[in-house]
Amino acid sequence: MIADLSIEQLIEQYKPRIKKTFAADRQFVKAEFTNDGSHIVTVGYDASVRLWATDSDEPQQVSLDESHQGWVTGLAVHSTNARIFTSDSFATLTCFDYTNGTLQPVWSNSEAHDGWIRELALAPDGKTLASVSRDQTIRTWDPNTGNQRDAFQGHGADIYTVAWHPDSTAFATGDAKGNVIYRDAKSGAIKKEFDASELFAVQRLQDVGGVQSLTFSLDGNTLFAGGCKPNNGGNVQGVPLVFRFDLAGNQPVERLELGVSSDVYVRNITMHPDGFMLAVTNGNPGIGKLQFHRFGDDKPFYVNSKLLNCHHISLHPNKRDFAVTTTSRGSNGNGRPLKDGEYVGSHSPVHVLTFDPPAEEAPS
Amino acid sequence: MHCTPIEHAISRRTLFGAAAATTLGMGGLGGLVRPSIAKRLQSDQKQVLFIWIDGGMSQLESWDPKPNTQFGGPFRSIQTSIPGIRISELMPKTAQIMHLLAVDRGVHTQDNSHSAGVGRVNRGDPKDRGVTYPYFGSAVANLLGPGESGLPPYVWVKPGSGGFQFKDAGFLGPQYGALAIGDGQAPDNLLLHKDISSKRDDLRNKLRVLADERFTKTRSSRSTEAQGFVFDTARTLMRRSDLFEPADPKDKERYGDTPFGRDMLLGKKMIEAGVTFVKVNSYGWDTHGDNFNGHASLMPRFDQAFATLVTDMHESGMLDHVLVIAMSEFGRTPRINGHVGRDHWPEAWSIAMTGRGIRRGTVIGKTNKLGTFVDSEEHDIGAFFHTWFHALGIDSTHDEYVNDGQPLPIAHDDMAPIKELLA
Repeated sequence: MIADLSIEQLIEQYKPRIKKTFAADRQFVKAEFTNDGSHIVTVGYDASVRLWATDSDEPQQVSLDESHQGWVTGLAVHSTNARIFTSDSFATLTCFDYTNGTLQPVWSNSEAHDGWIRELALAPDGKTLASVSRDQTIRTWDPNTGNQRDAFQGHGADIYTVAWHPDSTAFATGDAKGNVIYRDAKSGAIKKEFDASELFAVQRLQDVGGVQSLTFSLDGNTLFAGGCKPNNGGNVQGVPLVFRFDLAGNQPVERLELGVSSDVYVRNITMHPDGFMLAVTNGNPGIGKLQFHRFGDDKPFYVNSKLLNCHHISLHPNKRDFAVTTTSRGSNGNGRPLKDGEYVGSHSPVHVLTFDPPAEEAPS
Repeated sequence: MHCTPIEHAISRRTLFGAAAATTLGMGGLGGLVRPSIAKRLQSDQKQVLFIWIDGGMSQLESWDPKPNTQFGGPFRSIQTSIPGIRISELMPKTAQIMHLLAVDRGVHTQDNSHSAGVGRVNRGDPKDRGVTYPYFGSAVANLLGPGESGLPPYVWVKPGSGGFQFKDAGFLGPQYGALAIGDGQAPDNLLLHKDISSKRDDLRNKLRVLADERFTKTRSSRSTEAQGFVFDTARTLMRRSDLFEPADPKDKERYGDTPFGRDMLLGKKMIEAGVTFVKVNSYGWDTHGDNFNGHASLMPRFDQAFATLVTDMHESGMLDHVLVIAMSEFGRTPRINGHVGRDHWPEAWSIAMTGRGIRRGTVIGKTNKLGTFVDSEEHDIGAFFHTWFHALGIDSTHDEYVNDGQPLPIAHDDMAPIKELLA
């Protein structure tokens, strides 16, 4: 058990190294492993859904779908079959099958919400898909048919994120104003409301912050909410913050500051079955951190600040590898970034890291 | 026709006379222009409501959306009241009054920093002649004068602190600076002290005027005149404490219960009271980080107050004599940085306007498919200054300021009005 390990032992066991990196010339929001780890799916600002084969040293893009519009920010991978679910900022929700290594649409709903579908989450048992939107509603869907089951309200603000309880009977949602609601998935009845309003501030005319990420502990007893404590609007700054709520109570049992003001948002949190939290932060351009935190410790046991502006983290089914979606170096600037006369955009390197040591060189 | 220094000297005397007349409630015209021009301008009152969106509103999340392109962002575009013209979905109310507006999507300016860009844009970026040009508000205050209201000709409604901002006036001198109203609050000491009767106050003021006259007989008059001018307009303002009474709750709701809604309402009130130039300021638009969530809350608040104001001014007929402009110091980069923000972009952005002298229901200028650069004739801020002066009846291609005998064009001498924007 990692609870018994010293910090040095933890670092020795879990210090990751980059195995491979891949990128397109566009920006991704998320890169997620499929359930067998054979592929990575990326979604992003160019409305694309891309399937990448991971079996080679250089991951290859094997399929591209461009049927979405705006930004694709919702991505959920089925835990047992070859299906993925994606959603975009123009309100379309789509299911793809990738059995043959090609993205084939199964069903699609272009009016799934009234506006930007921020995030999707599939229940661990694979039986219900939940979507949250700028239209302030939560909707649940039959993942097989795309038929809507329910629509729930109650946030009164743009809903940014959703996460399922491990037992698949309930989910939590977090909004732009720092409210977290935990509710029964079938009836929609609110089981708990958690106050994460420290993650929100009004600065002049701007609502700043909000709950950026939610996840449950693997035992289902605890809910984690990530974001930042905003200092100002415009160029948002704020100390990255994670609250750990005990589902039996209402108050946070732990409040973790994961950096300084320029580190800004905790964009994504994932639980490792060995008993620690993986989190990524996304701060000022060029600033991003990958952090591992053992519960009960007052600071992370591992911090990597070389991965720039991290957006998402995805654990490989083998639990030894994981993918981090980042941003290219020099992504900001007030001038004209021209290359061969063309205006150059940013892109998103995806790094696949592993806890495994490098394979020993074969004896000559 | 260019003005001669002699003509300017005469007009300057006209100004000083006007300032004195203001004390008597007769109004007057500002003055570094020829008397014939002054007479022309006096024939009908013209005013300006200038909405300054400090930090840089994103053109892609407002007037010039490029949905479904590399840099287009997450938001949809929506149809406006002008067939074929679409703006961001974050401006649903403005979309309904688009036929009242003129928007130029081909703005191209020179500075990508706040420190230089704000001043450069506010001064119309004239050629460097070794003097500090006035901000647009000071220029209009000077050229159009305080009008009949006798109120300060340049009022700046802003969040934060108030006070007198003389720096805006540049070479025109401090009397053309801005009276800043902070957080919608009346300036300090607006009301006469309770122990001073109005009769006593009048006597005191007469004494001040006599002292000023005597002082200027043997010394340079400029600063004394400036002080007298400010004194007079301040006294008028003291009689208008009603301007600072709380807004009607219904209006508050219509404009939005936000600092910007409050300030837009107060700005309109100032215009209705006869202030020549009102600047309403919104801060916090420098969205280098989290641009899209930022604009998702900023834009609807701007949209509500802006669309309501334009509608009100249209319905009351005020748009016939009030020029309304909404702009920033630049737009924002098409490129999205790692902090999900957009940086500064003067290369291709948009300015919206309506009202006095403006052709309503017009969208001119065009950016390329990705929104990176202007794909039509580029319009720099100097051309807008010409356009706005012409809309106000000022012939900016001929009329000049005179600064201590030095004739100075009132707008960039290599640029001209944008005819497509003029009625």
